[in-house]
Amino acid sequence: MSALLEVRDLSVHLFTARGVVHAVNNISFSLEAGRTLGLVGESGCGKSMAALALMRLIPSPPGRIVGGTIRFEGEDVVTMDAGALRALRGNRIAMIYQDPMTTLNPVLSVGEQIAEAVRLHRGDSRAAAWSKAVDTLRLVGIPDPDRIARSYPHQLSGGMRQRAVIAMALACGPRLLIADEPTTALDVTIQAQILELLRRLQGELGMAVIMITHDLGVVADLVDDVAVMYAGNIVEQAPVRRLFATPRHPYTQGLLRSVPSLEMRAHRLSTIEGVVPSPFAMPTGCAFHPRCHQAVEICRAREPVLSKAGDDVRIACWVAAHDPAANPAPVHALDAS
Amino acid sequence: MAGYILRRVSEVIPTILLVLTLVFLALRVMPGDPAVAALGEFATPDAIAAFRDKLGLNDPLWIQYISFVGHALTLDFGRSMTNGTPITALLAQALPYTIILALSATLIGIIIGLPLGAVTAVKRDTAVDGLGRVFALIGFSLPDFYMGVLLLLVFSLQLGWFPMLGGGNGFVDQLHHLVLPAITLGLVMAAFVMRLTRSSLLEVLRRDYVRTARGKGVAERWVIFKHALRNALIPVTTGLGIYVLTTLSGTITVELVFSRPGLGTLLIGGVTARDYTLVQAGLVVFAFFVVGVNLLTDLLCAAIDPRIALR
Amino acid sequence: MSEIVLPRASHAAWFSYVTSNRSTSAGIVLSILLVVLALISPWVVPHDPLEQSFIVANQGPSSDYWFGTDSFGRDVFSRVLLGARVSLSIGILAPVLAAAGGVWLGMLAGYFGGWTDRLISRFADLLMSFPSLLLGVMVAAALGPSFRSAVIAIAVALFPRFVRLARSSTQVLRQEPFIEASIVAGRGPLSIMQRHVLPNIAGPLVVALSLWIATAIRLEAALSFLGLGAQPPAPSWGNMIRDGMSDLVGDPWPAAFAGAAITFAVLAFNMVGDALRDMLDPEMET
Repeated sequence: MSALLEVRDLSVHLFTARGVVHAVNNISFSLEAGRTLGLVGESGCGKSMAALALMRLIPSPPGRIVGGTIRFEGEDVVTMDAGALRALRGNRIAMIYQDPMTTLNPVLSVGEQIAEAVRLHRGDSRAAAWSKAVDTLRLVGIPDPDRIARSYPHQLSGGMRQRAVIAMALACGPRLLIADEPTTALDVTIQAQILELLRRLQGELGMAVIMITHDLGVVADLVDDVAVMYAGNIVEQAPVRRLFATPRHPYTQGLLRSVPSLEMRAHRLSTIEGVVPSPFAMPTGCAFHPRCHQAVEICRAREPVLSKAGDDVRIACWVAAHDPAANPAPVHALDAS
Repeated sequence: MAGYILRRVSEVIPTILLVLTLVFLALRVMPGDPAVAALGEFATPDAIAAFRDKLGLNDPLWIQYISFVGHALTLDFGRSMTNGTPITALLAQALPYTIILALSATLIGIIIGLPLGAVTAVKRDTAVDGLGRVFALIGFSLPDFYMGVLLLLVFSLQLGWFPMLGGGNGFVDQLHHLVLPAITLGLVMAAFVMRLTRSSLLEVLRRDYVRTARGKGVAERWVIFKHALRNALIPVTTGLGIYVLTTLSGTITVELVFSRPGLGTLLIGGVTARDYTLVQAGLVVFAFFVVGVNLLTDLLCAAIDPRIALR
Repeated sequence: MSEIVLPRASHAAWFSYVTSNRSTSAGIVLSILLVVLALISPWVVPHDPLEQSFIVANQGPSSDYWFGTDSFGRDVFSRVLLGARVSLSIGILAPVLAAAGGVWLGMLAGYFGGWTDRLISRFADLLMSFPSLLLGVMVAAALGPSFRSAVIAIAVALFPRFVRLARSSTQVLRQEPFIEASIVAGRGPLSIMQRHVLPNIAGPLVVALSLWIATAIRLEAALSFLGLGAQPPAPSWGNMIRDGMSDLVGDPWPAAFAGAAITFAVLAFNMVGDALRDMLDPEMET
């Protein structure tokens, strides 16, 4: 069965005055219908760019998709014509973004922004679209959806706004939802609510979800598979439990080690030495090698390729891929919950 | 919203009072004795005293002030010192010329400037944008009365298409006399409106909600018209108020260029003739206009941007 | 206000930026040229600007009289040069005066806040709600037409803008820790404003000044065109146009060239101001 989404060798470059940035560097992954993939990494690793690329929303003065294919339900998004792309966006693929305040148009009512998508893709009349908008607001757990639909974004709280953004994305029943750091800009208590909402909706509507985040905790709860990104590359991809239990890539190991847990008896917090390289001064070979304790000569010379390293696990590392025994013991045991 | 309107309108009162105070003070600072200016150097001291009495200039300052404010608010401006004509009559005659000029210029400015600004923003860094930039540069640097002189030279004196001076008699003739002055001021305003619309739209097009709209599959045309432009027009509307006022004050010089019998001509004539009461009246009327336009602009902005009314 | 502090770029960097951009260099060259010409004009005029001669009256441009002559036979080129003195001196003096007064008031408002701020801001806003020309006309009408009234009138019109500029910069700076440190160290407010705030707003101030000089030149031209500025026979670009109006049919040259001079001067200072603004902070509001 072919996957819902298949990304192959996708590359996005940013052409800036100071040089070309390889924001997304030849990444490949696939996603089955109804499954959730977590795209994890630090700021600047290219995860948001990768997400925007999926609907060709890369801001075009500096950025451009320079290579690769993005097959959604068999069609290649990269080469699609404008009309097909418009029919795709907000309809079969939808996206929710990080900051709900700037995501919503301040001069249009919330209901109008949702109804617009419905009218566009379903051809509904104004009245029917409005009523669908109200229904969708109810679906995302907003009380008094009639009044909220008539309100403007600045009149709502942060959590409500994000729910409205989610409603806007779901109104046309997309097969794939891309969530770009949907909780980062929200208060902690609201974060939990939104994540719970997303989980419920995914279950009810059966859509595939790509969850982009820098927060490992978010990932642990919500996703089926995880892809870890570093400096524009996917360095490890595995089912979530496996990743947390036995991370193979040195970067993933470092990441997981640096999350403190209550049972730890350490005196100092663990970090990954060094800093993320500047996009204008990328190291040769493997982008992580300057910070990696296991690096060997080939790591400096050639970029590792993402390849299979056991069932369902893929790694881009010269050391880890070849010798599973060379890896240390599991760093975190996931609870049985 | 109603609360905002009420609040904003009530703010007008102290503003008007403040403005009237300033006009009052400004004219009391004027050098020379208005009586001497009106009656001439050889007038007798008695005549001067009588004149001053008639104008109330011998009363204590605060009485003069109250009288002035009271009269101003009831639009009773007394008589011109030059020829004794009731000023209200003079104003009634002159105002239409100025108002129509200001309005037509504003219309021309918006009709040319807004689309030009939007187009140069969307087609940024192309030939169209370059042309627009040249247009803007000319509009900012060329003084409006100079543009009027140039237009006069070419289209009136050389080509004879338009009359050289006056306001015209009869509807069509008046329209004929309106064209050159209105274009003069209109082009200058268009340059301002264009630049503001352009920068505002460019700024809005960078915002997240524009990306959201595209991400929903909205066609580019609607992204610009429905999502971007409405937000972009907010600063333009604020700016518009200022530009309308600039145009209004521009009528003063342009009326002089085309010898158009409007408020500006009246005012400047009064200054030249040291016609104290006329100058006072002219300044007050202009001041009222300023306050009025500012009020309208604020209300218009609140209508476009729902956030303003809540502040 | 975003960046307020002057970038610590080297002089070499600034110099290369300035010379690389064509319109910037053109603008700067033009402005300097104008100022220099204005300063030395009495000594470089080819003819006496006040000398009348009906024999050569109303002539077009020629090798003798580059810009032609006016209805009194006076050389237009010489008058334009001399007019530069008046127009530029008012055009530069008035904004400088406005800045001198406005910046201090603005700093006071931004530093102390509260009633001081409210009073000053209200006053500035009120002045600003009036179009500059109107304000200028009001003041000049009240004071009687003269060189001095024009300077004062334009200064009054521009003054609130400097108040606003200084006020918002000061408000932001006020929050900075180093200001707190100075206060704790015992510095008085005036000293703080002088030593810490002023240098930091120097950048935006310079940009504002050049742009407002352009405006001031325009305003002066309008005021003298209306007869409210420097009085004849001293030539100023504005009143050359005014005088030229009566003979437009036969002799458009004085008006045409005087107007062109105004346009170039305004253009030059606008370009300098725009370039300075792009250099110091592309996102700055003026």
